[in-house]
Order: sequence, then structure tokens, then C-alpha cells
Amino acid sequence: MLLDVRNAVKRFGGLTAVQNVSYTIEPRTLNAIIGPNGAGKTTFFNLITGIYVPDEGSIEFNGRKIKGLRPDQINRAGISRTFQNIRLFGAMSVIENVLVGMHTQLNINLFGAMSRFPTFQAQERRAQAKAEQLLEFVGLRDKANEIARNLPYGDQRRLEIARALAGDPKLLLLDEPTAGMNPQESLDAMSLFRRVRDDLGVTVLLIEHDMKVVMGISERIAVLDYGQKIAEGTPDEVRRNPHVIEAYLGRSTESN
Amino acid sequence: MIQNAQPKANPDQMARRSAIFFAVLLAFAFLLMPWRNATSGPNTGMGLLRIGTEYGAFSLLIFLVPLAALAGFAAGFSQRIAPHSPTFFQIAARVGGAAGLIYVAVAMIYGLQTTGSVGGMLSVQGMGIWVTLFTAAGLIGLTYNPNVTFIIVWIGVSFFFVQGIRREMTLFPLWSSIAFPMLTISPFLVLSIKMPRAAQIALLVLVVCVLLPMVGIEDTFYLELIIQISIFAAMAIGLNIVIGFAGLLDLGYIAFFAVGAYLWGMFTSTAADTVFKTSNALASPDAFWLFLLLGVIAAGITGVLLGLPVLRLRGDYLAIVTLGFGEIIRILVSNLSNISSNPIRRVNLTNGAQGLPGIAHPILPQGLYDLVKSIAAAIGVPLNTQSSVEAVTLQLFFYFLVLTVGGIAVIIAARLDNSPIGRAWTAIREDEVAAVAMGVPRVRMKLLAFAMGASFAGAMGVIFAAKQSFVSPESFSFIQSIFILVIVIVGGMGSIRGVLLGAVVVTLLNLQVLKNFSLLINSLKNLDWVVPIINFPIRNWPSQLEPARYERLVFGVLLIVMMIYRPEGISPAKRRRMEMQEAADQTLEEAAAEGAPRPGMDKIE
Repeated sequence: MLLDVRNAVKRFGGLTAVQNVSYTIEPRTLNAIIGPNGAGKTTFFNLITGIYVPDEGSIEFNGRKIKGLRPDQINRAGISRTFQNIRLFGAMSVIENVLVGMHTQLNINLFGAMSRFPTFQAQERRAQAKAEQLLEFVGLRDKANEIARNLPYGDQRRLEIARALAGDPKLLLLDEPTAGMNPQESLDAMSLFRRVRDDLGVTVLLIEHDMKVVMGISERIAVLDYGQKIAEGTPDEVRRNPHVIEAYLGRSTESN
Repeated sequence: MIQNAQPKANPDQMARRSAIFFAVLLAFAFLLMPWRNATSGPNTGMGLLRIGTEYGAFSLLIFLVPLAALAGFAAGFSQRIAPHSPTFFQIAARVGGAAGLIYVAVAMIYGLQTTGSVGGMLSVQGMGIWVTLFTAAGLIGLTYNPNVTFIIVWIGVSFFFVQGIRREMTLFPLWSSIAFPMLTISPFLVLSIKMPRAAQIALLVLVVCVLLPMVGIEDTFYLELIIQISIFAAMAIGLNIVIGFAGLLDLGYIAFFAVGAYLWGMFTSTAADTVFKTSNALASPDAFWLFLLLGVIAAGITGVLLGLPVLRLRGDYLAIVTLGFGEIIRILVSNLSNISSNPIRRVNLTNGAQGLPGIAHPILPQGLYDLVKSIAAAIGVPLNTQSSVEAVTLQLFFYFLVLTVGGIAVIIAARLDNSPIGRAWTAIREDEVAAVAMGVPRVRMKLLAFAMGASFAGAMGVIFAAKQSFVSPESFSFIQSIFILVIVIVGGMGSIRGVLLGAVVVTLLNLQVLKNFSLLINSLKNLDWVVPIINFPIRNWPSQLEPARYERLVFGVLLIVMMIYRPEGISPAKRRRMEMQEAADQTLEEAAAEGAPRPGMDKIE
């Protein structure tokens, strides 16, 4: 098991955003979490990545307890993410964004940076080369020196994925990665997610509203509603699950 | 559109602009000549009016060569402006240019013969302007590179302008506040104008290491000014790491300067008896270099100590706490004079509000004094007394020391900016949540920024205490922190060059220009000058309204004007400019979303 969340609870005042959710991910799988707006999906992501600390429950990653670690420590442990509303470093160049994502992979040495010894320069060159490879992988190689903010929307999403991959994560969390994309862009994105898993061996967990994407690539789907996990299984199982249909379409009422 | 198809600044426009500039400069040089004669003694003048009367055969050259050189000068430009003009102009340009250079060579030899040294020749009044202009004319004629010529003329004219004006002149304060800033900003012109790298470095070294010290030897006020500028520049480089790179607003930065200054002061002052109750200073002046290092370390540690509790705060809250910290340090040093209530076991560390007098200077080798003395004699400013030799040597030593340390600071800052550390700082500044999610350890990187910034101030503090040989809490007041902040903001946050330029502009404004306007009003008062048209006798100008008292008003107005018209600073970092642009765009988008009319909307079809 790569990720093992047990009975995670997160409350904000009187609101319980995540209620007793247990969730596991196997290595090298493509997983999705779906659910109506406000179901607690992003909060669940924030629990895993350490932005919030769960009030109850435990989170283990790769056999190691990560609950209570800082977000940067969790990133170092091998979980990387993208954001629902793209959070690139807008004024930095495309390649610089990727290089920041590589922070945990680099030897951060003040005196190396000040002296520019050959070891430091060699590290910079390696980082640069690796960043270029990653940009090639997501298809942004020729835009390496553009300013991140000036990229078209779809490219910004790709760049966020490249940046998240730069830290050599074992698990990649994608928060609504195809939101706002047109059908063709969504298709490209889906093939990118598959290549992330197949070529790089990175386990993927995504939150998504676009059912075509979710059903198209996920191997396992979990459904959250009102902070609770109401269903989990293969796309077919989830599609037929009455709880899921109810959560999405609403319960049939007397008057209807 | 056709206008848009053209590049913004093409060589032709550039040349035209330079041509206009040269014309103005030339007129200016002609104007300058008579003043110099009017105020300098016989045999030192070589201004316009005396040409041909004192220099015999040489005067023939003086009349003929300028014409040839100016022909070349103009032809050089016409070649630039109209690239397809006949070769006649090219030939004229080359001939005129060569003539200009020959003139310079002859003038130099002549100067050598008459005064015994090239330095002596340069100090002959009025000569410098002509040498500069003809060198420039020669260069432009021969190379068609108006950029290099432009900057040489600028440097030369401003240098000889500074040298030419004398304190006795009524309008000295006015001329001096034009001439000296012209010279001190010339390094930035060198940097901003396109030219070969080697020429750039040579000109920078020329101005910073030769011309400015020369001016300083002649008039120690200028020497003091350039030291102050360099100290503030080095500190602004440090503050720029904290504010510009990492985006942490620090309003108590001067505290780190105080740490360095008091570190050296406490150990070498004659006033502070120490914990150990020895009557002598604890450290010998030889320990200066060690303490310079200790100052860096002590200030760095102080930076970390301040950073640890406050770095969880953001924005305004962080600013307020750092402001408080700055005040704490100042109040601490004014109260560490009487630590025990028992008068016999009284411990005095800082001598309180009276400050520490008699702080040691570092000991310089005798050879340095001799060197300075002979250099001064060579450029025609004999230092007659032993004390003035010592004073000037010490000041020059501090100038070059601050330059060196500041240069190291610039290199370190630039290298950090272009390293994983600098990228992490930028990332934190741009989006802290995303940066942390990418594995950037927020607290550690912020502490590093604080410590790096502080350590530069610490080094400058040690140098400052050794230079002034006196420190008191007054030197570390809140307004000083604001002063450095103003430098960073006016210059351009995050831009090293901008911050250096800011240091020059703001320090000169504060220490020279404003004071000079006060002096000017005083000298006009002595002349009983009456402002024409409104018939206002300047004698009635109240002393409460002296410009030197407006310092804070001027800073306030300067900041407001900058924030309105150029919020990214005079010479902004590329990245900052984009951030400012983004903020502006967002405001526009919000305005548009609220249905407010959007500026420029009508232009978009």
C-alpha cells in the first residue's frame, strides 16, 4: 500500500469537512476522487499534503506516518500536488517553475551558491537538464524561457504537473486538472496522466468533475459526499452504485 | 500599423538623441569656461576668453583643431543618421576624428612639459573639458560608436565640472548639486548603455576607483559623501535580499547595523568600562579584521533570533514586529550603561545615550600614508599637514574597504538570486502555499534571508563605527531604517542595480542636495539678493524653512510620487515589474467585473 488514510476527520468549527474517511492507494495505479461541490475533496487533499492536520485518524505514506508533518516535509517524503486554481509562480519563467519543484532534490548549500564551486555548477546543469526533460515530457520544451503567467491556460496546467513531477514524487495529487479545458485538451491531458503513470511509474490520484476523464482513465474511484466516503470501486461499480446516483442526481421525492 | 513595425529605439534615433545631448553639453562647456577663469588665479585658467593670449603657438592648434574635430564629430553623426550618405562624410569624419585625437595627444605632451605631470596637466583649469570633448569627437569620428563617446563625454564633463567649481563661488551649492550627482550616476549610465564588456568595466573602474577618490582628495566633503553612499548601498543590498528577494517587509533593519557598530565600539571605545572592569579597551585596533567577520556573524545570528519568533507572521504584522525590534535594539543600547544598581559593581557596556567615543581606527601600514601623500601631490592637491594626510588616507581606506565589502555583497546577492536559494525565495514571495507544497522549507528559507540581509548590515556597522570613531543610539533611529527602505523602494525592489542607484540618488538627495539648497539660500542672503518679478528679498526667507529641514517631507513626497508613477522603482527587476503589472491587471479585471468602465476599452475593437 502506498497511501493509507485511516478514519481521517477534519472539522472547521461546527462543520465537519471530512468525516471518518479511510482510503488506500496501491502503487502505480490511477485513482480518482469524485463528489459534488463541497463534498470535502480538496480538504481531503489538503489533509494528505499537510496543509491541514487531521483532527483524528492517521495517514501513512509508504509505510511512514506523515500526519503532522509540514507540507514541505510531506513533499520531500514523495507526495506532490497541483492546485485547483492554478498556483504557478507567475513572474518566474517556465523552467524556473520546474526548478523550484526540484528543491527537495537539490543540495541546498549556502556556500556552494555563494562560491559557485564546480560541484554547485554541475548540480545546476543537471537540474537544468532534468527540468528540460520534464518540459519535453509535458510538451512545453519550446516554451522553457517564457514567463509562466503568459502561457495559455492548458499549458499552465501542464506546467503545474511538470513542476509537481520535478521533485520525483511517488504519488501525484491532481486537483481538478482538466477544469476549464476544451474536449481536445482534456483528451491530451488524459494521455499525459497515463504517461505519468506508465512512463514515470508515478501513482496518480485526481479530483475531477469531468466524468469522461474520470471514467476514461481511473482504475479505482472513490466518491465523497458531505465529507463521507459513500462508495469506492472500479468505474463500472461506481457508475451503478445507487448512493452515487442519489448524491449526484438527488433522491426521488414523493411529489415526483 | 506602420509605426508599430519599427523597433522602439533604433540606432538612428539613438544617434539623434546623442547629437542633441552633445550640443547641449557643448554649450554647457562653453558656459563653464568663463566661471572657471573668474574664480581661479592667474596661470590656471585656460578658458574660452584667454585662448590665444597666453599660450602662444599652441593657440593656433586650439583654434584649428576644434574645427576639424567638430567637423568629424558632426560628420560621424551624419553618417549614423544617414547611412547612405556619400563617402565624403566618412572621410571627413575620420580626418576630423583623427585630428581630435592628435589634439589630445599634443595637449597632453604640452601639459607634461609645462606642469611636469599628466596629473598636473589635467588639473590645469579648463583643459579637462577640451580634452574630454576632443577625445569624444575623435572616438566618434573614428568608430561611429556614439554610446561610448556619450559616456566618456558625460564622465569627463562631470568630473571636470566638479573639479572646476570652487567653494568661494556664490552659486557653488547649486553647481555642486548638479555636478557631483552627474558624476556619481555615471556608473549606472555605463551599465545601461550598450557597449563592449571590457569598455564597461574599464569605465566603471575609472569612475569608481580613480575619479571619485580624486575628487574626494580635493574636497573631503565629497569623500565623506561617497563613503556614505557606499555604506548605504551595501546595506540596501542586504535589505533587498529580505524585501526584494524573499518579500519580507523589515522595518527595523538598522538594528543589525547597530549590532555591528556596537560590537566594535564596545570592545575598543575608551569610554565603556566593561564587564571585566579594565580601564583599557578590550580589543586592540589590530583585531579590526577579525571583528569585521564577527560583526557579520553576530548580525546574522541576531537576524535568526529575530526571525524565529516572527516569521509565522505575514505582511503588515511582520512589518510591525520588525519595527518594534529595531526600536528595542536602540533602546537597549541607550540603557546598557548602568546595569547594576550597586554603584561599585556598575557595569557600563554602551555608555547610554552619550554614545561611545574614541572607538579605534584600524591601523594602516605607513606605506599607505606615503602613497596617498604622493598621489595627492601628483594630482595637484598637496596635503600639507600630517593630520590631513592621516585623515584623507583613513577615509580613502574606508572608501575602498566599503567598496570591497559592498562589491562582495553585490556578488553574493546576485549569485544567491540565481541559485536554488534565490529561486526558493522568489517562489515564497510569489506564492507561499505553492512554494511549501513544492517542498520549499518556508521557515528555513526565510531565516536564511533574514540572516543574509542582517550580516551585510553587521559588516557595515563595524566599518561605520571604526570610521566615525563614535557611535550613539541616535545613529540607529527608526528614520534610518526608513531611509534604507526608501533606497530599496525608490531604486527598485529585487533589482541589485536599482538598489545601488537608489542608494546614490537618495543619499545624495539627503546629504548633499537638500543641504546645498540651504547653503545656497544662505549665500543668496549674504548677497542680499531679491527674487525678481515677485520682489521678494531672500533675506526674509525664514530659517525654519531651510530645505535641509524638509528631509522627511521630501522623502514622503518622493515615495508618493514613485508609488503613483513608477511603483516598481527607477530601475526595476524584470520580475517585479511583471508582478506590479499583474497587480494592475487584476485591479482592472476586478473593475471590469464590477461593471466599471475599463481604461483603454474603447481602443480595443
